[in-house]
Amino acid sequence: MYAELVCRSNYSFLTGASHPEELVARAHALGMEAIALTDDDGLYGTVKAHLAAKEKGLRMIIGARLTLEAPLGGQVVLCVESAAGYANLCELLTTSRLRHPKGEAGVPLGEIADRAEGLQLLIPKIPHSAQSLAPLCEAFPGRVSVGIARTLEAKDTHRFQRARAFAEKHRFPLFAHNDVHTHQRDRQPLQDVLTAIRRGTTVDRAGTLLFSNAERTLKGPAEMLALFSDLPEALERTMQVASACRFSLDDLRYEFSREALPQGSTPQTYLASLVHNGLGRRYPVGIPPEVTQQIERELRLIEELGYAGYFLSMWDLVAFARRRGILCQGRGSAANSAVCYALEITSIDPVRMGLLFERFLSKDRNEPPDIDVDFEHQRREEVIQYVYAKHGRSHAAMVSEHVCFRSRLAVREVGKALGLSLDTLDRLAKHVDFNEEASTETALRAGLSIADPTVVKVLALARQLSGMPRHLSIHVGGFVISDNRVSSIVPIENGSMKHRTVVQWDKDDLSAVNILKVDLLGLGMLTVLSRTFRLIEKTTGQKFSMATVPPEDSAVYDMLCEGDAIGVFQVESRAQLSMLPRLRPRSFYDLVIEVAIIRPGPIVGQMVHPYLRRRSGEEPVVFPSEAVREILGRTLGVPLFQEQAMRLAMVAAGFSAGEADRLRRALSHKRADQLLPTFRERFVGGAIARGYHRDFAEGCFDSFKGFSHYGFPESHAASFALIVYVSAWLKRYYPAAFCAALLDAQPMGFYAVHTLVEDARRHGVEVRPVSADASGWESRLEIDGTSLEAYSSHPSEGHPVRQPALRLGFELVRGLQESSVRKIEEARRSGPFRTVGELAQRTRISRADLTRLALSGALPCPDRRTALWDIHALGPLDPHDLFFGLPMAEDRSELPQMSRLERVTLDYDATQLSLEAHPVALIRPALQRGKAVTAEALLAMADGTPARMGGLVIVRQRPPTARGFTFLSVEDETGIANFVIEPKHFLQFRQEITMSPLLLGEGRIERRSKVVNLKIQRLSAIALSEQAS
Amino acid sequence: MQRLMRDQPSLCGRALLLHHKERGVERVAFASPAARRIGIRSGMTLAAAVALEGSVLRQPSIRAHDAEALRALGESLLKFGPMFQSDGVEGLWLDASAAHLWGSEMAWAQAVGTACEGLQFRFVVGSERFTTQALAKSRVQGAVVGPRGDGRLAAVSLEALEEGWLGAQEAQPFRALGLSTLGELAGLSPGALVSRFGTIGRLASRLARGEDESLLVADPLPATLEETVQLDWPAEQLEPVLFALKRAVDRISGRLQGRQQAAVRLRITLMLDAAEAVRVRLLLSRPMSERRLLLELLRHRLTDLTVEHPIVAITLKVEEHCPAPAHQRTFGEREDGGAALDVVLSRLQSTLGEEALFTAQPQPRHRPEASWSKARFSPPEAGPAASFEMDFKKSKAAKPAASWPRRKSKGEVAPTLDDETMGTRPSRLFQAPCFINSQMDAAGALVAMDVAGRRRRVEAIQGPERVTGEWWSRGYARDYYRVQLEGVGSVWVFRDGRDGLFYAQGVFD
Repeated sequence: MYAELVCRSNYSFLTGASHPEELVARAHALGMEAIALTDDDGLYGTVKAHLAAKEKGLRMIIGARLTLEAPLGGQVVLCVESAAGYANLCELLTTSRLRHPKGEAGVPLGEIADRAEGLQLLIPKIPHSAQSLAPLCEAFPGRVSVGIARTLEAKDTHRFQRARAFAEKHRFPLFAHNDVHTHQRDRQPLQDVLTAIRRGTTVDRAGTLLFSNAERTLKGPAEMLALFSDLPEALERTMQVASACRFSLDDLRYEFSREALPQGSTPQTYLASLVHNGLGRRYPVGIPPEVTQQIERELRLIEELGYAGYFLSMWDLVAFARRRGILCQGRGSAANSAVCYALEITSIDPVRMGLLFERFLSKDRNEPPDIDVDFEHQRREEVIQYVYAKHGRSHAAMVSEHVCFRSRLAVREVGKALGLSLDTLDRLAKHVDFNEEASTETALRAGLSIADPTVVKVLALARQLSGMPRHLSIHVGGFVISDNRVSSIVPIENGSMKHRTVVQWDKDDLSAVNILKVDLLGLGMLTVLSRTFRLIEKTTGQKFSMATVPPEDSAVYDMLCEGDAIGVFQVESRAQLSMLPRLRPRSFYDLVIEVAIIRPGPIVGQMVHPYLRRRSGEEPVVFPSEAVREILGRTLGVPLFQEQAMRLAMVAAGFSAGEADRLRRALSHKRADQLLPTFRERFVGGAIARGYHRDFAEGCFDSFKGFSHYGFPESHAASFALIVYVSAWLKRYYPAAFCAALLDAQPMGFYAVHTLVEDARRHGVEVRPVSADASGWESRLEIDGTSLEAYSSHPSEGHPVRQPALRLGFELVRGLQESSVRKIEEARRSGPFRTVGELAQRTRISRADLTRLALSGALPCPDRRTALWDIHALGPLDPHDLFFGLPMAEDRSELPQMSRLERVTLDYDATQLSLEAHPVALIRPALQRGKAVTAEALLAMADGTPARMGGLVIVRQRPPTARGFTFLSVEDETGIANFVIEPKHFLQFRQEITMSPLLLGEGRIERRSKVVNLKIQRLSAIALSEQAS
Repeated sequence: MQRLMRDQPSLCGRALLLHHKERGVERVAFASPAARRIGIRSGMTLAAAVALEGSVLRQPSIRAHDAEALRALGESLLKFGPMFQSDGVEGLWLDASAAHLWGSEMAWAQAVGTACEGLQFRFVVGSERFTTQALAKSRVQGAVVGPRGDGRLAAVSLEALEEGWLGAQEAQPFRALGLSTLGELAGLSPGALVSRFGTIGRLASRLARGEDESLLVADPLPATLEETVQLDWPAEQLEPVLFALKRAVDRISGRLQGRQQAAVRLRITLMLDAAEAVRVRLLLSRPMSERRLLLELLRHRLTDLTVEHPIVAITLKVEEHCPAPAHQRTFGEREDGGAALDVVLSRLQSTLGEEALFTAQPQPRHRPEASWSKARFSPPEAGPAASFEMDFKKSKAAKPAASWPRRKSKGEVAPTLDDETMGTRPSRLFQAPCFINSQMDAAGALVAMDVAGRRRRVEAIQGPERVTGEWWSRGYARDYYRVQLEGVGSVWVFRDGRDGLFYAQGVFD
């Protein structure tokens, strides 16, 4: 028998060419007893291999290759025997990684010797300085083995002689291995490509950098016996090592960090007291009995599962954020928990909303709870550093993300390795869509010949490479916090960002081995809300918060019903803007549905149109029972949320809470097709047994299938809907402040700054340009000598308050240094700037920044060219020069005047927007000559009318759920129009759609109530030129 | 493009593009009118152009060759003026001081045009270099302009300042000020420009006003050393050819010695009576300029040559030369040094071909027949005092040009050879594997092989070593064995994974 002990997966980045799961499956198929995964300086793929091995019933040995510190160099393999050995291996890998920059590793022999307990030492290849390994081996009495690999290379004999000499001298046993890099021989070409990528060369130049054959692969016991017929003891040794290594990840023990507790408290009692205090604040007029009931139920379950510490930690983080004035709110399934609501982690009352707690936490579900909290994105780092400071680097680390090759990058890298010319490669890669595999179609689209064998090979290898891990990145906000050292559970290494350390596992790996993570996410809209509140307070004196914004304001809903939602959280996308006039939200719950309905889940489950028909009264709403009405009543009989599927399963088909949760997970499993038939049978059978009609049961279950695609849980949608409402309210009543905050929070959302500013202007906001005399780094509001009273009349009167003017900030000026702006603000205190020279003299900012200001029109000068001319006259701008910044006396020279087109183009170049004119307004005469109408005129046209419209493409979308349809949002000086492009036309006009900023579309109007689209039949690019205007 | 069309008239009217590499990307440098009609433009990537029209003809554009051709054109026009200066790859300035001999500048320019043999061109005759260039580039055809361009510069685009004068970066500030023509630039106060842009401002202001003080700087003549001797009558015997050759060698040798250069590679072109040419190359074993030796070597090369027609002219060209190596002769050493060896090598080349003389250079490749490459053979330096062994060591140390490493891209790691693998290779490796008839027993073990018409028993076998790879081109899969053959010795054979047959690859001494 035989066990492979030296095996690299593709988590030895750019070296191994097989997934851990592939290695496990192949080892099982070959009849091996066990397999060790020994990737380079990490346990990145261990969980995946562990899960695959468990599924196959194969024993998986945990191990790693450790790079030895220079000058010794070389590598040794350590395999884990016991829990102590596992902790030692994790600590060694952590030490090795943390002492080196990202991507590098090295550990001194002495430290390995100090942490030898519970580990087997394997020397797969004898290093040149073999004797220096002797002291290390002494630390592993009876646990050292010397490896020999017979990979049918010329060097085999030489290597064998060295290994045998070393082993005989020190009386170590020999073990056989294959130095595995692939799970089967036909993966060798990809391994060669990875080598070429890693070495920065091409396969044909790589020569002996590549392996000379494909023998570094998994081989079965029979093949190994034939290879090592003269050394059967070397095969036997693999089994001895394998039998000594009994540790499994199932034995891993993890405890969440304990909070400091008041004297005499346990985590549970302290949590209960915090919850009861919180309830007092949440329900000042008395706690409803159903809330008390729910809280008790939740606390019982939390105690039973031992998660009190986890909730306390989350409460602590949120409390810290609130103390610092950082806006935050829980999202996701945590909003189903009344405890989270009481602790002010979430903002939605789950009892009042009727949310399902089991979606968050269930006894039957062997899965930790998942609390995600959003913080203002520009201040999230403060919270992250608080976590590190509180728990220490050894007890807290961020979750990593295994960044994998996507199709486009795979094509690029494989193409480079195969020596495709850069221009060909560029062309091929550009034609690979984000979510599709590289195929012969791709090559044809790129104008390449599919008869070219290199192109065919590139495509085939790119498909293999796609999905393989490339490097480690940092998860958006996941944190592992542990009572025992994190570094004894999973190795930690340096992140690419300064001051960040990350664990080697991603969120799925952590979840699979029941390690809790907390998600500290950044949400741009919270930054916008926070800043808008501050601006309102500054300009009007009125204080608002998310809790005090007046609820259910009909004017806000009126605005949303018109599809007027640019900048509003979650409902500003093209699809949402089209949905708003059809769904016509009139209440908070309508917003919950609005947020949830435009998702792949409901769209693929074909739930959108039935819901809209029932809402508009075109289709009757019928419920087979009162129990079903209670579950589906709010969504008019259409199951839009996973919670509803779970409840239906429990109420209509008799599922337990745990079974219902298993159904939910089966629905979103990647092998849903295989898992669902059993559930379907159980559901339909259960429903019929409870007196429901078969058609109803089958119809319900079929609509559940949509949940296998991405969708929001109801609680999550409700959390987001609150932000939707607050942002819409602010847009409705304080558009100037809202727009200023949006500009400062960029980049975020769907739209570029020019679209946001155009929208604000359409809402009556006066927008003022960047000015050296008035602007700050961020955009700000200006009140022109009028008393605050005029701006602070309460919005509840039903119309917007008087708006201050919006002064654009210097941050919009491309490339301008913030430090220069601080100097300008400092110098401005002693009076306005009269000339460019004076500004230069008083601020002493660089010529480059002066030029940027001149180009943006921010300098005190009649026009930009004169400003540039004056800057050139300032001499060398040496701060030590006595005459620094003094202009010379001379006659004024006449420079050519800028045309309107030049000014607008320069505006866009310098500040990404123009207040002078919309670019499309400049070519309006040409568009009119071509009989093109404006976006505004398009809205008034009847269904089926042929029309032409030209404008600036602001959003391009080709959602996977749209069956190849492409949607463009096209803006002109009057508004935004939607272009809908069929797949055949997309292929015909692909070049124009993907490359041209200005398009002229020709087609027919498609009108559904207030939603108007132009269904495109022809597209052409428009040039922005003086001639066109 | 014009040169190409002129050399190959069949290309006229066809979609043709010239491409060159620009920052690692192949781009279109020039497109023929037919190519332009299908949308191919200068500057677009080659892949994009080919995607537009797969059948478009492609030729690499090598700037150096174009410049050389332009200089050759300039040289050919020297009869119209004492000197010329080339302007990139697009234009020439010719000294028009002899124009009066043609009656007028216009007549002179037209005569120049006629001499250009059908090439399309524009010409401007003027007093300043910048003015003539700017006007010619701005599509002015056939003009004779007075001082300051007769005011015709005003409408010329500011681009005229860029190439060869200010550079695009230096001209950028003028564009940022909204200036688009030389006239607008000339309209600004020179003092204001100087105070703002210093010397650049002064130069720009003067050029825009047509004030160019720069002188015509004659292009140096090409460094090619070439001598042609016309024979008085077509020669059918070697003797008159050698006589003419001696004249050529005398001149070349003199010129080489005058420049302190030595020839490395020579080419003799024998122009035959039937408008044909025979070219003979001579790669010298060491750089030399001695006329006697050169003539001796050339004589040896020509002695064995047979030509079918009489020879009418002979051209001797030094294709490669280098600084002459200084060599202190020892007492009794002859001027021609190791002439005997040089003669032997020359004869070997003549007999076996130029490629027959080489040094095998190890290459870091797994495929055995690709694991070495030919490099130029460098014999020991001449001199009776030096031992052969010493010189051999020196010649090994000198890196032959053919094996110079390619320039590596950033981050690239070069492959290396390892001694352990080299130690297992046979001392005599065949240039290509050769099929060998073999006999196997029932178990598939090799028992005998046919060598030199006889069946030889396999006495011992060692292996296999498996070598596979190069799947991206002509992939291979082989199992190598070291086989001890009865009466032959140790042979390196492999069984090809594709056809299952045995091939011999080398012999162990």
